[in-house]
Order: sequence, then structure tokens, then C-alpha cells
Amino acid sequence: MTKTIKNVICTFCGTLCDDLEVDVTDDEKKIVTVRNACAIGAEKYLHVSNPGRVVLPRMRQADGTYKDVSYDEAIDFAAKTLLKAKKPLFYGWSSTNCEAIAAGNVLAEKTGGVIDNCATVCHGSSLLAIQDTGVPSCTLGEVKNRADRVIFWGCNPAHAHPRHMSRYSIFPRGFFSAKGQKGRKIICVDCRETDTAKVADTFVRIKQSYDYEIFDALRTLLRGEDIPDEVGGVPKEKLQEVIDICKSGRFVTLFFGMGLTHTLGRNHNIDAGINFIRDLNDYTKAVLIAMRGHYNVTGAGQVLGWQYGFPFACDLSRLTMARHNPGETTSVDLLVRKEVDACVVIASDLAAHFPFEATRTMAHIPTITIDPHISMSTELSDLHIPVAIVGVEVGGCCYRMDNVPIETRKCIDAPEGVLTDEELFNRISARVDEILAENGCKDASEYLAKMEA
Amino acid sequence: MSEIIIKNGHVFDAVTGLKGDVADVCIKDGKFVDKVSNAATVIDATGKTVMAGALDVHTHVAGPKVNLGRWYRPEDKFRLGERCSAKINPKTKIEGGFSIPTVYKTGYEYARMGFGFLMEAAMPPLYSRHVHEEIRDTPIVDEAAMPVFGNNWFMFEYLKNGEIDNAAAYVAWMLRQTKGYGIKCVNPGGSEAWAWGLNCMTINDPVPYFEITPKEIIAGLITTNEELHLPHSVHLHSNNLGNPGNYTTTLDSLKIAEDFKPNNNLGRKTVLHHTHIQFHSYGGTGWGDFESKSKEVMDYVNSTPQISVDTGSVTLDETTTMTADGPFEYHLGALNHLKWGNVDVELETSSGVVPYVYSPNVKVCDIQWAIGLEIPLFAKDPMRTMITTDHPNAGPFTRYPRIYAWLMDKQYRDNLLNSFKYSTKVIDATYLAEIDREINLYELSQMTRAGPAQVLGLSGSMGGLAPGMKANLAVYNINPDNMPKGVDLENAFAKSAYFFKDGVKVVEDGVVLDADPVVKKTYWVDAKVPENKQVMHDITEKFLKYYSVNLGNYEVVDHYAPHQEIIEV
Amino acid sequence: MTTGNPSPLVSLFQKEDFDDWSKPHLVGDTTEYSALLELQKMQKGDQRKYGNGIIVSVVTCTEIKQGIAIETGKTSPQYFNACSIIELHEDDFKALGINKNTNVRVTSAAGSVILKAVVTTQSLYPGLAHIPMGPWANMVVPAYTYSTGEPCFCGFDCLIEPAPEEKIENAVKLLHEKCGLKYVGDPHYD
Repeated sequence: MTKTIKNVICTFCGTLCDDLEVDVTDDEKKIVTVRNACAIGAEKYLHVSNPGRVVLPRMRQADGTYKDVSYDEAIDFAAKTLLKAKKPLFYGWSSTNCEAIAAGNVLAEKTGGVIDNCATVCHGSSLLAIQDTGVPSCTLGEVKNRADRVIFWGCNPAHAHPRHMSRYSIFPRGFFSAKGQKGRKIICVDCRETDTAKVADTFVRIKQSYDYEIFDALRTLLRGEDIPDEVGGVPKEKLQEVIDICKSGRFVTLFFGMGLTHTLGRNHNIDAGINFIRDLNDYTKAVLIAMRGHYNVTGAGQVLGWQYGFPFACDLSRLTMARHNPGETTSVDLLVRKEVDACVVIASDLAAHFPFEATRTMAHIPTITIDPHISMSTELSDLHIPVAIVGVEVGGCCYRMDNVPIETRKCIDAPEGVLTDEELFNRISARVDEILAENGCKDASEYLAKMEA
Repeated sequence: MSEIIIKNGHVFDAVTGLKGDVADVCIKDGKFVDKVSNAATVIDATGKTVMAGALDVHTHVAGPKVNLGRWYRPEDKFRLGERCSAKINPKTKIEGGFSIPTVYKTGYEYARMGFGFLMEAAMPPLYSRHVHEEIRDTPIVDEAAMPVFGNNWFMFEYLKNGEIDNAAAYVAWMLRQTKGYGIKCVNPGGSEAWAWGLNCMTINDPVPYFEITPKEIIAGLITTNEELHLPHSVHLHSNNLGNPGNYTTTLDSLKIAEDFKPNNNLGRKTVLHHTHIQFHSYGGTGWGDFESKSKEVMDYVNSTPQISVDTGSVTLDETTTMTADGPFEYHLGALNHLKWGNVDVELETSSGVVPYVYSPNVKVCDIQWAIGLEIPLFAKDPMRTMITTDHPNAGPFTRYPRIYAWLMDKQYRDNLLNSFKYSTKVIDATYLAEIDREINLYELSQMTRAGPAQVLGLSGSMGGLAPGMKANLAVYNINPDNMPKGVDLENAFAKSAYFFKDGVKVVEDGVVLDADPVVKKTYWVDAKVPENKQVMHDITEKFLKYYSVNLGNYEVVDHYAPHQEIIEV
Repeated sequence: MTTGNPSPLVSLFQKEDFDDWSKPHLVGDTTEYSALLELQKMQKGDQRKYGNGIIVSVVTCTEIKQGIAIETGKTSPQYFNACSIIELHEDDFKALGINKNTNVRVTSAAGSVILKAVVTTQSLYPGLAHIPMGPWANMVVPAYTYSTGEPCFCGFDCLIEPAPEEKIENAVKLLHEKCGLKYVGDPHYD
């Protein structure tokens, strides 16, 4: 016999679908089936109960092989490594809950670390643009109920956010949008004709890295000024068509993704996009929403925001104040310049998703990876601490791409003895306090000075 | 818990009626008591002022728009001067931010000034989890939050059809779901209109599609509020905020309250709280002939006992404005061309954030500043007039001490008034120069302690020093026999000599000692109503069709507020 | 390691000291910079052909297959198959003179990696190539961030040369070897 758990929140992407149904065995140990999920979400839930799960921390030996150790040993190793480091990097956070992020940030403050989340290589540029220009936005329900013009720019929800289009942006019928897809005009702007572009009414293929120029051209056209016959590989008529579609709408929504943030121009592309939307508000209602990738990368920024005041790249190594200086306190730059001397990778895979030059530094400094699964980072770390999976084995708060917080659900028990992220951070923090007290030090800087002396 | 006696202070307390009398105050087990044993810790308050812990009736310190402010204003962390960051005590956390401080700084700064309770003024229900997470992480001070109802589709429908029972059942349900405290109403109808880029500028402009007027919304919300016997009255931010000549809209909105009587058993005597009324007391037809209408507005408030107000006093700082009044923020952004943030929330509200510089060299800002001081100075009943900055809209809450000093020291405020670039024009457009009144310490204790406690329905436990009340107590380095002036007065309020929260000493000489032993509580209201099948059906249907989250995932579960104080009505 | 004559670009990354991690990182005095100059030298106007290879602009993006494979496991064959590829336009296959599903060597200013060239399902234009995000793509992603924290994941030039004889390494081995760590085999690989 099985039990069905309803309203399960899918902890894969920033869409954070909350309508999954999961059948679990009566003893709540195994997942049997999952309904309503996309292909990725289904794989996530069904894969949990496969054999081969790591249930004990693994420490790398001198010969390169790994040996299982107890949680106590692992926690002691982590606390000592962090205290010995002058400037440890805490990177990741995007695939765990806010409770764990809050506990982890407190540990980072105690040990004088740099906290950075996956935004640093995803929508960090968008955040920089927001810091420059602001952000007119709305919740996804507003898009569902009102939007009659939807633009996807440099994003590919058909692949990265598979249920986004059906739940919020293209197909759903809402209060003022009873016709669903028929009442909406969809525009897709990209250098590739993606599977999202194939669903769109209008596809604008641009030359790679010409996003800024095209936003600029659109703003110019919007003001009724003239532009050259072709901009960034797009004929003027096509751009005028985009403007006409937008102006004739009652509610325009721009979704943008890493096609903008990873390309030449970075934050300036987003900047131009935000200004385009702001200009559109002189004619009709217009908003934009960033297509945040991991399911709680937004939450990682939110927690960091209310605790220390910055959305990412927050340097606490001075112990008395928080600093944020993109380009200096961002993970890739810190690693490439070899400015950090220990690394904690948490709920993310640095080694798989950072440029190799950054990964190489991480492989050479003491690194602790906290992740339920084997990943590239765990295989390059000195210590891998397995934890319970958020949204499957433990609940907690996560933030959707439009910053709406949703409480995730526990479906099954974690393997016996496996800690949650939050418990783990609290125990490492407690161990750090113990070590400081044993050595009669009031904070991490005093401890470092004592060790060096 | 240990016993404490605060000896020989000059006590100002509207609840016990002490007006600066030298008296001892005793604390035992987190409450005020008549007397304590000889073993009690003695705090010598000779030559100092003793008051109950203060309450902030309207402040934006937690939630999505506050955090957007923190996210998008890194420049707010690097202000020079001001007690901005650098922590001195390893037992506390790193602090940061000026107009939108981090949660740690928020808790510490309020404690340093002697505050024990804050009312987060606008909680979009869909985002209530976020608000509660921030409240949970804010140290020391107790907090509550008011969900916004003034642009809610359910309420539009029920109020338009006059279905007050349904409206009441819905509000009660919502307060339980969001762990909310009362009914907040921001730009009634206007924020919904903003979803189409429109606004409601008077109380008779119908809301697009829903065809209900702001007047009907306000009246309906007051009826609902009194039907539910909620501890706090309807908390209104009326239409047409910030525009020249808007005082007529304000008076129209206030007049709606005339027909109602308070109905509750928690000591509240008002039915309508108009917030940050400074922003709503403007005359003139444009920025050129912009002038103060504070007298006209306050004359009405003084004569109408059902109404309470808070000031929203401008502090002349660079700050970050944030409100659920989406259209206002758009127009402000268009005016000052600083970064515009906006979030519309499905079925519920809109909101916006724009940085703003209140410059002493700008005539309009100075007039706003003057109005913010005139309002409390015109107030006949300090119990119904509370001092706020609508933090951070008119200025950061950390400027309260400066406002107190301006109000208590005519020369201090006149010096500033006369130093303005356009001081003659400012004096012509305002009443401030003619006002000689100086608020005294007793009136201040009413405006910041007993008054807000009564308006919020918390007068049974807060805002006074009577035995049995929560032992929140502030001691200031102010000797009433030798009153400090100007900057000294300001500093004395900014750094309390002692602050006790629930009988725990958390501040000494303006330094936060250790926040960990203090249990901070989240207040919310559980209003009991008969089961209402119609409303539950409507809720289920709207969630299914129009919300982007499922009904089953909407409720703020208990662990978001680990220490709850539930008020049942 | 390579067959035939390596281009001057590729040979830059085959120098002994390229992987010396202990050297300080100096901007403007690196292999990366020389490689960038080399890449620029190779392109004359719109001419994209160089030797037996071509120069293309590369973007790295997320893909649904890659997403599913991440959940299956980073050491799974699914992940290997989903990420160790480069998608090219059909014209570029012709220009390279190779059939689809042939291994190629992809070299950027940041490094060099062997991938399988496949035909795209999401159409590109000639001169634009796509590698799904992952450890293979990141071998060639330039780490320069323009002071934003974001490396050049999209829109960097690569030289693509046929390398039908070369083998695509598994990700863990690739990372270990390039980092100069001892690879002892991985029990998690099937």
C-alpha cells in the first residue's frame, strides 16, 4: 500500500511548482510514483530511492581514495579548517532551504568568510543592473491573470523551466486572460531558435551578443525616432513589429535569462532591458521577471539581504562589517586570483559550473562539499558531507523566481543518521564556539593570531 | 528569573499617571511588580528619566519590499559618520545599512532607543512567510505585521455586495493564514488600478472592472473591523498620497469614520488610524504654491475622537521610500529619476520602492519637514497622535531622537528652519515658525508609549509601568530638572542608559550586550468567526483558478514564528 | 596526445607549465592572453576557416537533457552523453569536412577539450555553436568576469578542429588530470 502526499513543491528550478503528488510507501521510506512533475522533477523524486546513496561523510586520503568518517569527525575537521583559514569562501546555497542558509551565514560570520551564491554565475549581473536601475516586476500570478504580451529574451523555459509556460506565462487561463494562449502574443528573442522560440508567435533571431544594441534600438523606436535598417542582425521592420505588439498590449511581461547575463555587456544588457520596460510604462503596463535557475537561489539572496544587506558576494572577512564589491568579492574572481584559502561548497556544484581556472583553485585549497549526492565538487574535495534532500526528506522555506516564498514539504525520511543542512551548520557553529572557548579566543581573528604566534 | 529595582528615576508614565515623580520601578520574572525582595539587582536611575518601552505603530522593517531596498541599495551601507556598521561586541552580529538596515541592526537600534514593540505596516499576504522570516531573525523587539486588504479581490466583491459577514470571515481566515495583526488599507482601489497602470485619486474614483469606490472600501473595512472586534482599528493610508492639494482627499477619507463606534474589549477607543498623515496634509495646486494644510487636517483630527494618526515626519535624509502604493512610487520615480522598483501581487496589492533625497536645499522637502513637526505640535490629544517617520519613507527610524529633540526644543527646530536656503518661502508656506509649543516628556511618553499601546489594543500589557505589564523599560540620561537641549537631548534618546526587554537588561550605555537571552515574540490575532461555507468555497475557487500557489501551500506554518503571542477575539 | 600538427593555439595549452597552479595569477601576462591574441590573428575579416578547423562563437546554456542527467547523477552515462557534446550548424559540419557525431577538439583562449560534434535540435546560424553547461564546457569558458562576477559563458571564440581519433574523457578524470591531482578511478562510475 502507498500513501499520497499532495501539494508537494518541486525543488528543482525557480518555477517552484507546488502541485506535485507523490506516492510513498507506508513506512515513508521510499517514493513510488510522482505525478504532475516535468521530466526533470520526476527524475529528481524517483532517483532519490535508488541504491548507492552516500550516508556517511567521506574524507580524501593522501593516496586520493576516500574513506568514510563519522559526522563528529567531519564536523571537527570542518570547524578547524574554517578557523585556520584567513578567508574561507562559502559558495552555493541555491539548492537548500532558507533555514540552512541563515544558519550557514551565521557560521560564515563567525569564521570570517565570504558568502556567495549561485547568482554570482547566473543572475548576478541582473542584480547589478537592479542596483543601478531598479526593477518593475510582479508575481507570476499577475502574469497568469493579466498578461497579453509575453517576451522571452535570452531564456529557454522549454528546457530550463519546463512547466513555466503552462503554469504562468503562455497557456494558463486567468481572470482577465480567459482565452489563455489565444489571448496572448508571445515574442521570443534569442540567437538560437530554441524550443521556446518554436512556441512563440514572433521569433526575433539576433546576432550573438547584440542584445544591448537591440534594446537600445527598441527604446529608440518606442520614442518614435528612426534607427538603421538593420541592428544586430534584425531588420528594422521586425523591431517595429515588436514595438507595435508591445504598445498594443494591456500588460507586457518580459522574462529574461542567462542569454543576457552571460553575454558581452552583462549587467548593461539587463540595464537596457529594465529601461525598455520602464519606458513602456508610459504607454501601457509593463513588468519584467528574471528567470532564476535553481529553486532557491532567490532565497539565498533574500536571506543574505536581510542578514547582511547584500544579495550575493558578501565578504565578512573583516568580522566587523559586510562588504560587497562585485569583481572583487565574487567567487570566480576570488578563486581565479587565489584570494581564498579554504572553500565550502554547499548545495551546488562549483566544479561542474565554474570555468576551469576557478575550479583548479578550489581543488588545490582545503575544500568541504556539503551535498546529498556525488558531484564534480565532491570528487575534488577533501571532505564530502552528505545531507538530507530539501523538498524530499526535509521541508523548509524556498523562494520562487518572483521572490514568493513557499514552504517545501517533506515526503520521506532521510536515510538514518543523515543530518539536514541546518543541523549540520548549527553543529559546525557550535564546534567553532567550543574551539574558540578552549583557546580563550573571543573571535576568529584572535584565534588566527594565536595560531600564527 | 532575577529581580530588579530601578531606583530614584524621574518616571513618566501615562498609565500610572506619573509625571516625572521620583519613584522606584520593580521587575520580577519579566513583569512589573509592586515590590521586590532585598536580593533584587539595583539600578540607580538618579537624575535620569524612566519610561516604559516604546512602541512603533507604523514602520517598514521586514518583508519583500524592505529586502528589495536592501538588495538594490548597496550605497545605503557605506554612509559615512552615522553609527553604521563596525560591531564592537563579538556577542552581537554585524550590522549594516542606514535607511534600510539589516534585521540585526534594526533590532539593536530599536533596543538602543528603548523600543520594545514594532508594527510592520504592510504585509502582502502572499509574501507573509517572508515577513515572518525576517521578523523571526530580528533580535530583541516584539513584532506584529498587518496584511493589506484595501485592494483585495475577495474584499472588493464582499464589500461591494454589502456581505459584511463574508468579509469578516475572510479577514479572520486571512489573519490566521498569514499570522497577521489587523486590517491595513493602502491606497484603497488605487493599487489594484495600478495593475493596469491606473490609479484612484479621490475616494469616489471607481476601481477599474471591480466598480467599487475607495469610500465604499474604507467604510466596509471599518465595519468589518468592528464586527470582528479586532484589537487595532483599520490602519489607513488614504488615496492621493504626496500630491499638492491632497488634504481634501484626506479629510474626505477621515470623515468616513464619523459614522462608526469602536467595538472591542481591549481598550481601543478609535475606529480609524490614519498613518503618515504628513504626506496627506498638502495644499496648493502644484509644487510652486505647495503649502502646509496641517492645521486644517489636525483641527479635524482633534475634534474627532474616533480617529488616531501617526505623523510620518520627514527627517531631511537620503532615504528609501517603499509602500504598497504602487502608482505613487511610479510617479515618484518619474519625478526624481532614481531607480524604480515595483512588485504587483496577484489578487492582493501592488508595491513599489524608490530612493529619495530629502534635501534641505529643496523648498518642497523643507515644507514636508515642517508639516511633519506641525502635526504633533497641533495635536490636542497626545494619546491619539503618534510620532513616526513611516520608516523608511520620511526618514529612517534611527532619527526618532532627532524628531523628539525638534519637538521638545523650539530653538533647535527654529535654527534649522532659519538655516534653509529658501527659509522665507518655507516659513510663508507653513505654520511652524508661529508655533511655540514644546512637547514635554510626559506628552512624549503618551505619543510613543501609552498612545500607540492603546490604539493597537495592547494597553493591557504594554506602554506603561503598572504591575502585571511586560517589563519593557527604558532609562535615558535626561534629568528633567536640568533638561538637555538640542543635540544632547537627541543623543540621550538615541543611546538609552539602560533598556530592559521583558525584564532582561539588553542595553547599557547605548551598547547592546547580548540579544540571545531575550525571547522575541510575534503577535498575531486569532479572530473567532462562525464557519462560513460560502467564503471557504470562494477561497477554494479563486485559488484554483487565479492564484499561482495552491491553497494547501498558502498558510504560514508555526515554525515561522517560534514564539507566538496570540490575541484571541 | 594530438594527431597531426597542432595549431599554434592548441600548442599553447600543451606547454608543460600551463597547469602550474602555484604560479601567481597575473592579468595580461598569461597563456590566456597570448591565446586570445592568437585567436584574433587567425581571423581575417569574415574568414572563419583556419587550417583544417573553423573559428566559431560558442554559447553554453542549460538543456533539459542536461537537467535530467544532473538529477540522475553527475557520474552517470546520461550526464556524459548530455554534456560532452558541441552542437554545430550543418554548414559548419561541411566547412570542417566531418560527419555528424565526430569528435572534435574545441580550443578557446582559456583551454582545450575534446567533444562530440552533433547536429542541433534548436537551430543555430553558421558560426554559432552550443555546448551544454557542465565540466566539459567549462574547460573552454574564459574566466574573465568584467568585474561582474560572471565569466564569459556565452559568446567566446573557439577554434574547432576535427579529432576523430581522440577520446572524450569522463568528467572526474578530466578535472583531476587538468588540476594535476591523482586520478584513482572512480567507484561511482558504472
